[in-house]
Amino acid sequence: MAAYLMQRILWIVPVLVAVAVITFVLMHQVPGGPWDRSKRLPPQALENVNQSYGLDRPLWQQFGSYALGLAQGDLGVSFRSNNRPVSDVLGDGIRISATLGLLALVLSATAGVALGVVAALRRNSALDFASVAFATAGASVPSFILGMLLLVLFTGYLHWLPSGGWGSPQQAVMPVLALSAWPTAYIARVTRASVLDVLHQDYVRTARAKGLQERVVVLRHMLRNALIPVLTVIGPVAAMLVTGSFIIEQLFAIPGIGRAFVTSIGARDYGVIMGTTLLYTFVIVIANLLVDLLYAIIDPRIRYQAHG
Amino acid sequence: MSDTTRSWLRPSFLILPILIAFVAIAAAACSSGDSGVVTNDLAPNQEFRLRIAGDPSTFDPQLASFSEEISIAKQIFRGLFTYDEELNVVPSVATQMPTKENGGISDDGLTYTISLRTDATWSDGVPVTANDFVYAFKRLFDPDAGGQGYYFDFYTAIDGAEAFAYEDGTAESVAVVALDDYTLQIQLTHAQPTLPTLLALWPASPLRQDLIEQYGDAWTEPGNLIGNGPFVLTEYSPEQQIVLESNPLYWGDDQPTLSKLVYRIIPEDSAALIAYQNGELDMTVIPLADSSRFQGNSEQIRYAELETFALQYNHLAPPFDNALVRQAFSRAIDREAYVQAIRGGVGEPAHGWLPPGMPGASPSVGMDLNFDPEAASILLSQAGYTDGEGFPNVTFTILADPTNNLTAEFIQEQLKQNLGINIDIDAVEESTFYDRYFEGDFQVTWLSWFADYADPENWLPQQFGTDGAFNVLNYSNAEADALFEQAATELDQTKRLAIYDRAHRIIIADQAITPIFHPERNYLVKAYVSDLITTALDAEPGDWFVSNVRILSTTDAPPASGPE
Amino acid sequence: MAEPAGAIVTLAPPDRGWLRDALRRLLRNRPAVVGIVIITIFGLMALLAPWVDHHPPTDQHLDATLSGPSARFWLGTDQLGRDQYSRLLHGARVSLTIGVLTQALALTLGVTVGLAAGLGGRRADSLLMRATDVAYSFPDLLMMILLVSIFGVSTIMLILAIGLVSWTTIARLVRGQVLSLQEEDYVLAARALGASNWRIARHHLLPNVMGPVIVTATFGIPAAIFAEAALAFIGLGLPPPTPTWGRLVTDSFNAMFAAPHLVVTSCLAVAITMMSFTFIGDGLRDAFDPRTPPRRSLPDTAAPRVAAVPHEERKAA
Repeated sequence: MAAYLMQRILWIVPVLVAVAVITFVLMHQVPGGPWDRSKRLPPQALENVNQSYGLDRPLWQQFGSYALGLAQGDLGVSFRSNNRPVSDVLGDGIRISATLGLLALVLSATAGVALGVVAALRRNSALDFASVAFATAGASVPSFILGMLLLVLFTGYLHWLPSGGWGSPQQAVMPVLALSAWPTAYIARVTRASVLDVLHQDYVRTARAKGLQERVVVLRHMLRNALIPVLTVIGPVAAMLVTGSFIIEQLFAIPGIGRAFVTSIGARDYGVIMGTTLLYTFVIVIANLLVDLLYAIIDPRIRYQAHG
Repeated sequence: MSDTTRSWLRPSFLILPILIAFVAIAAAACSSGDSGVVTNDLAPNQEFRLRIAGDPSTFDPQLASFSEEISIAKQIFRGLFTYDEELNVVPSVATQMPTKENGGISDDGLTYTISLRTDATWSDGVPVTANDFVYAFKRLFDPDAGGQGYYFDFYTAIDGAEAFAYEDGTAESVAVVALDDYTLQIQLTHAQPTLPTLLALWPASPLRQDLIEQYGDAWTEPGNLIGNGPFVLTEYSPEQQIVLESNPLYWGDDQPTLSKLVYRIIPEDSAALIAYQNGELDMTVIPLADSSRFQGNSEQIRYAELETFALQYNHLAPPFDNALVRQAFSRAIDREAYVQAIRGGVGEPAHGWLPPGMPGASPSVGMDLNFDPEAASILLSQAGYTDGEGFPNVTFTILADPTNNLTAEFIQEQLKQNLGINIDIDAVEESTFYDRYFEGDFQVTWLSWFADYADPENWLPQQFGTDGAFNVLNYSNAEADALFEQAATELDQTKRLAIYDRAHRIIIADQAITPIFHPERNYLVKAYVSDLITTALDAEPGDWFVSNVRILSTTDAPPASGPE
Repeated sequence: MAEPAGAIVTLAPPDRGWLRDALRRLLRNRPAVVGIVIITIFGLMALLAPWVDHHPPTDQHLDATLSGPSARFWLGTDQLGRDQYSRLLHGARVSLTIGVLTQALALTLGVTVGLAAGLGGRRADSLLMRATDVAYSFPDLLMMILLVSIFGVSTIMLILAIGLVSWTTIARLVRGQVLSLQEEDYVLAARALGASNWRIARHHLLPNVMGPVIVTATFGIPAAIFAEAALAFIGLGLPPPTPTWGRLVTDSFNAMFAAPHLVVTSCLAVAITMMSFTFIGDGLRDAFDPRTPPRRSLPDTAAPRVAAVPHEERKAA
């Protein structure tokens, strides 16, 4: 197990290197540069500004100095935002996006599991229909439409919540709701299917036959097993939530990393593109690793081995 | 063990339409009605809350290039001159406008001697002197500073500027000197009648050498950034908000009544509108799709700006090297219908390139090439493509956004109906689009030109002169070139404008571009915002005269203030 | 087809019978049947769009812009007075094509890589799975944006771009299944009888692997439709005047208050389609594997892991 873990952790480095090289090469192939905006920079100014950011050098040299800086923890500066260090852009962005994402994760995991369990236990009841209806609708509405509906309702009409921005708990309510809709639906669906399946397993029947209290059967015997598949979907859902959502952050004017990421691609803000890409890759790899570990902890039948 | 949940579908299908229908009704109901009755008294809280769509890339006035940056730089810095409400150039840090009569301009028009107010100070109390201007002008052409911006090119008539910016010259060679602490002298290589206008723009702001050298790149951070304008930068939260507070040491006649300017960064227009309705903003743009809903609303402000949208052709390749084709296009497009359908009736059909309100603009220009399908097809036959027969493949390259997509589809359909030709549309994202545009890698495209300053110089020679700085269309017309040369040094304003009018007519008769419409600003402003003075040159509405704005109190409780 | 030995026939899974069983089970699943019916109708309407539309989808009626549903325009019109019903129909062509072909590409790539890794021995396995790991870790949205920006937007490019970020799940799934199935008796027996890798793959592994793979691909279709919408939202949609659902939804967002009928109709079209595919996917999963929940699969096989997470949702929306 320890060797396996070690191997997985070491493996992160080559993945990051490969992703960095691919991204660096591809993003410089995309036509247009950071100064192709609605006003034309005088040719001399373009030369000056490219020189000052080192963009006039051959690509491999640029990558070399980027890698060198990266090794020393220097991610460069953002061209578009007052020369802010990329590390600041990433730090602020991920802090905000991860806060929102974790809140959304807690909400969607709780609500999703609850909905799924209730739906499964009260199969074909009105409750089941309602929760399934919610789950399907939640999964099918594009998030920008949902976000807009929330905005109109809670801010425009009821005046309960501020329209957006970041800083107070009220400002987090709508983005968290909008972010949670899809994962809640997804988790509810997986939970429901999984509970339905466990419901008819022998050990649950045995437990019931032994005359154990229904509460004990549900909690100790059923949920524990039914939640394993749920855990495996929570991993990628967590990675997705924590890395921020461009659309939600754009709509609610939240300075998160999802917005920084997509904006930077459009703006050819190379330093920010590289930084967010590496950060995202890292989060995805770690999330998968954690899921696999959690899996082993919950289901003792699973053993990992380091492979050659 | 199949899932037998039968009527899964029924309730979930109902949820969405009901929700949307409800919200649409709610949306219609939630406009205004939250501000109470406005009195004539000042509100205790003199805070003006504005919305900008994106983060300013810089607070350095020499690099500020896009509306939000320009709008903020204008509040923090004041140059030698500024504009009055009619956009006449008036003194600011200078004591008077230089003329030949008062000796401010030498007889050959090459030397400007400008005396400065002795009471102007920086926001930290240090006096503003001629040396601050000298430093700023040298820095403006420095390849490591202002020479990386969009605007230093405006000022290269200054002797030594080009040498410093483009060649091996040094800061010393830039011919801007302080004769004494309060007298500035600028030497030009050729007469430039528009120099005072240009000196009223933000890139010509004075700068503090001591602070820039002390803080390096960090000189524009709140606290470090010392300006000489009516407001001071006090807070910058990237991608969130920018706060300016009034400068207690401001020396000008336009002392602000406002104590605070808050710029909220809200990327989506529709979200900003909801923030406005919720009382978080005092002013916001009306989204295009909502124009009709707010037409005639008591909080609406609508005014012309100096901007023209046009079809722009690449003149190097067929079919657009043929003036008859371009004229046929002009006569084939129903501009009136365009403004109604896609702009919600907000804006004016355009026939000339110079927008109404621009000195030298004349409403009659281009009227003879107005929409007329029959004339259009005759022109196209004359060009050799009767009923579109044999017309080459043409790609219409646009910057992909919802409005441009609709515009392109409208024009595509007009050309199909009225000329019988089919064009393709290529919609590309922003950076790719401008890369291609500036490289001349397009056949026909759709773009507007917005005035940096109110003079045809910015619109005609720079765009259509064979050597014009912004001539990406590869247009060349000897007759027009001769007129541009004549106008460049003509110091008599009336004669200059007459020359430009002739050039304008030549260019439009030739359909170097096909103007389609002049947009208008269409905003909502709360009733308690008083004395907002707008001009056709605003980067954001009212930003030349923010000092005038006053917030009046309302009888009901003031609207809920935004998030801290 | 002659089987080499009778003993093996009894050990091997009953190929066709198994498929027929699955189909029977699928047809007994009500939501899945509803899904199939809806998708069939939508598919047919899309296919026959030029014949069943009400007006040509690009015809502009400037006298009736943003009008609500009426006898003249069944689902109303957009800013240029174009018939929303016809645009949805023609949009379905593009969106369903993208959804289906994307998953076909992902399936082909994923199965090939997964089989090659599972059967190709240790070195091939290690190499291929490392590559898959990198591709899996690469932010999808970035990859799609980069590819589309470099090569320009076209239907084929969209299919390639979305397909290229969708295959990793399938590859991991196939490889995991292959590795575990290889230890099964009937595969061992076939190998002992000298069957080639290809033969084993075709006769013994693929039929077993295809169930979960098809389920994954089915969930991938709505994800691909969503991905197109997300790209349209950031200005990387197909060039006008092609109507796509992504464009219809994003455009309707801009005219939300002026023309709620556009939002309602375009969102409903997308929502119904997504729901139908979800139902079908759920039904297929039950049908292919009646007793086995996703729980049996080991983490490496990761059946339900990312399968149903729309790409756009994973990192973008």
